[in-house]
Amino acid sequence: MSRVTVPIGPQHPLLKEPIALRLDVVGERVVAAEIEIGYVHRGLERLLQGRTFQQGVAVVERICGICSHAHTTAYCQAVEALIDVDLPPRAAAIRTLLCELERLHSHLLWLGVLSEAIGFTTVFMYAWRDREQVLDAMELISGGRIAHGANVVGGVREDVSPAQAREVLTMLRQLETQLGLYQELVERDRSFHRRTRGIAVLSAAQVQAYGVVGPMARASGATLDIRRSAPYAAYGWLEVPAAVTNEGDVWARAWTRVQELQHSIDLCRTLLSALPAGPLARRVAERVQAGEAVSRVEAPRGELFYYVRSEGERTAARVKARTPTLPALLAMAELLPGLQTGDIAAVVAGCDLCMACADR
Amino acid sequence: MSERPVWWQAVEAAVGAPLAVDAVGGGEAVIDVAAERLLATVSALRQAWPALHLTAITGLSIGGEVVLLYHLLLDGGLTLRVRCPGAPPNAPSLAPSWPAANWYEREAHDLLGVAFKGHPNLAPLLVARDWTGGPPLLPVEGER
Amino acid sequence: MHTLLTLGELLLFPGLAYLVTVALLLAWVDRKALAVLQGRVGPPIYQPLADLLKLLGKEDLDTEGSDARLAALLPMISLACALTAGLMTPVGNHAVISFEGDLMVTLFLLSVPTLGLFLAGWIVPSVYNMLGGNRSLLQYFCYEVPLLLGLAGPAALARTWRLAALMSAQSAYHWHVLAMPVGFAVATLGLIGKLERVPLDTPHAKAEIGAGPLTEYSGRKLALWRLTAWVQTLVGINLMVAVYLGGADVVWPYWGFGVYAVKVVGYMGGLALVQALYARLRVDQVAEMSWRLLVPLGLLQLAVTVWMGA
Repeated sequence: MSRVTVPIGPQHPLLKEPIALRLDVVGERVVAAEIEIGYVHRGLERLLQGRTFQQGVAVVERICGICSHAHTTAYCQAVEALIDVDLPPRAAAIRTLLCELERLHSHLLWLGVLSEAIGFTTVFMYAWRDREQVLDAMELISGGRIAHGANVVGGVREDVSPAQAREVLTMLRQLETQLGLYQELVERDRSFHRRTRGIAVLSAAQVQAYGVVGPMARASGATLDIRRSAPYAAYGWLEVPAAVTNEGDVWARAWTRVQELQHSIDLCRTLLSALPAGPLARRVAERVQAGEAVSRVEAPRGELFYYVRSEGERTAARVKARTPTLPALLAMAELLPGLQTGDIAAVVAGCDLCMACADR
Repeated sequence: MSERPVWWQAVEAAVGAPLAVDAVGGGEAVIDVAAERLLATVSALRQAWPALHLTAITGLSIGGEVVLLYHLLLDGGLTLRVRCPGAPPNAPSLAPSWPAANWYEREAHDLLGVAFKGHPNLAPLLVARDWTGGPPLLPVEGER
Repeated sequence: MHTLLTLGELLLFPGLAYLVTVALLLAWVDRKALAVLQGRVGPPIYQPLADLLKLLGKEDLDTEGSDARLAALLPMISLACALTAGLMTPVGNHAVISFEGDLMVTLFLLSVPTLGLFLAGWIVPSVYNMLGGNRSLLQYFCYEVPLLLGLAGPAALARTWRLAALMSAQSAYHWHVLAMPVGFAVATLGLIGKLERVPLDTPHAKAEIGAGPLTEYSGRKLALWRLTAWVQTLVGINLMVAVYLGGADVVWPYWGFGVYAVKVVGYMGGLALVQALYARLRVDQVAEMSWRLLVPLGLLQLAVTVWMGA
């Protein structure tokens, strides 16, 4: 049989964001894969140099349209470490609450994308409908569905009133009912299993070799979760359960995320039921003392890393972000060869790529 | 640091000199490593700590010199600081022994022009293939 | 007078005009039912017509390197075959053309669009079209046999290959589906494969190969392909209603058409339900299901029917 090159991307129905996959296919089997990224490189790290540290928050928020709050959290944390300011407890709790809401909407979005990729449009519609509720809740708190503008250096800008807390709790209760459906889908639906079980197995050794993080790594038996290993914001007060399994296939990635949905709902509940009182933010000087700081947070897709360097001026000397999609892409390049063409969609969607994050 | 972290011995043996440890904000340790000792240090660390995780490689341009920061994660964070001499700056490549470094090194090559010796493919990753403006993060003449 | 009547039958009812109108309405039923099942609002009733008219008015591009004449001819032949098949399947109590063996001819005519689709994919030098065309043909070998076996059961029981005779054999609620539920299921799955609907829609799995064999088609050609698919759906359902669901049940002669219409819409809803409940199967899974499960079951049903009837 002859070898043909199937181009997927930079524009393709499978992809939500531009990335180019060039797959060499013989019959129905992929024999080689090449990935090219950089289509949405906006030079944001360069842009951040020469902006004040507060302006930087708005820029990093725009790195990603899904995990924008994780980006600002990581960035603010790094700057806060530089100026050595401690976060007021209420600010920490609200920051964490938004982090978990963001995880909810990101995981639901992913479930929808995966379902659509395997032709299961009903789950796609359901998951995205439920995701709307989470976006509504985030809008209720921050005024923004995607870019929340909730974080500032030294705290948060948005308070959560008791009425808002009640409304979010109602939303969580509704979401939990729906969640039963997704749990059943992942545990029992044979149609779903046929398309996800045993496909694109990532071994624990590969996780280590490629530095894979987040739910994708936890689906392959890795335990790395920054919320547990190095608690930040309010995670120190919370019990974050682990969702780890050893299968390493697309199904395991779905299972891990569905477990995390439940965990996130529980964490949001705990936070909302006991929001500490106190100020929302500490006042910080615009000029930041010279130094460098790193910060890691567990974004919905895994460990998000920021490095911030100040040379004692009002503006940042260097801001570096390492997003969880980069190692996922590296691992994906390894997973693609050997697959059936029919599984490409499930695998690519299953890696939860965020190209805007990867390209910056 | 009152108590020596678990990685101390392995790293000290690999670096071949008594360790001087800085701490950065965020509570992570930084060690200076000479460029030629980088591969040995990393492989010693990986042997002592099989679950070692490479978080990122940050490239910096400080006063005309390029510095690479290798951010690792074992129990806590550990950063290896490597100064890259030369013009264009160069450093040994981790990618052949540790694929995780592959794209991070390509990124540093894109943004700061670091030539990684032994890297399998230093094609542009983020910047456009027809970009001719030079590495975007290096200071340009007449601009600070 | 007789010629005029025949012409009217061919062009108006139950011929071209009727088939196209009902096919469009049925497409709406399909989309609306799926939307309701998925918790969406769904399209208004004129949406398929609007889609069709819009496509007809769009620029019709010929892909470089493909045979423009063949590309234009294939959808016409396919649509003509689907419509001709429509003339043979009973609408209500009546089919325009009826003869011994019309079931086989209908099935044959329904296969032509699939082959046309394969060729349409093959003549365009694009990998998506080519892969989609290949998959169309591969799937054809998977569903055609189960569909045939599924329809052969009732034919063996009634000892006729004539649709009208098959319908009258089911009078007084002796529906074949009650006697042969397995055969009905096998034939339904075969039909789903023929219509390339979820879960057997690999030939145009959008997440993998775009629109499959039709990826590079636009304008009138695409409109005709769409219409072919909708007419095919209507004819396929007509066939199932006639062979398995008693057609227009002759118990109430005046209500015949209404009974038939309810059955067609109900069957369409059933197909939409299947679409809502399952994920797409992979090509190898389609082949496996067809040859390991559907064909043996179909054969078993047929054997039991023949043995019982003997």
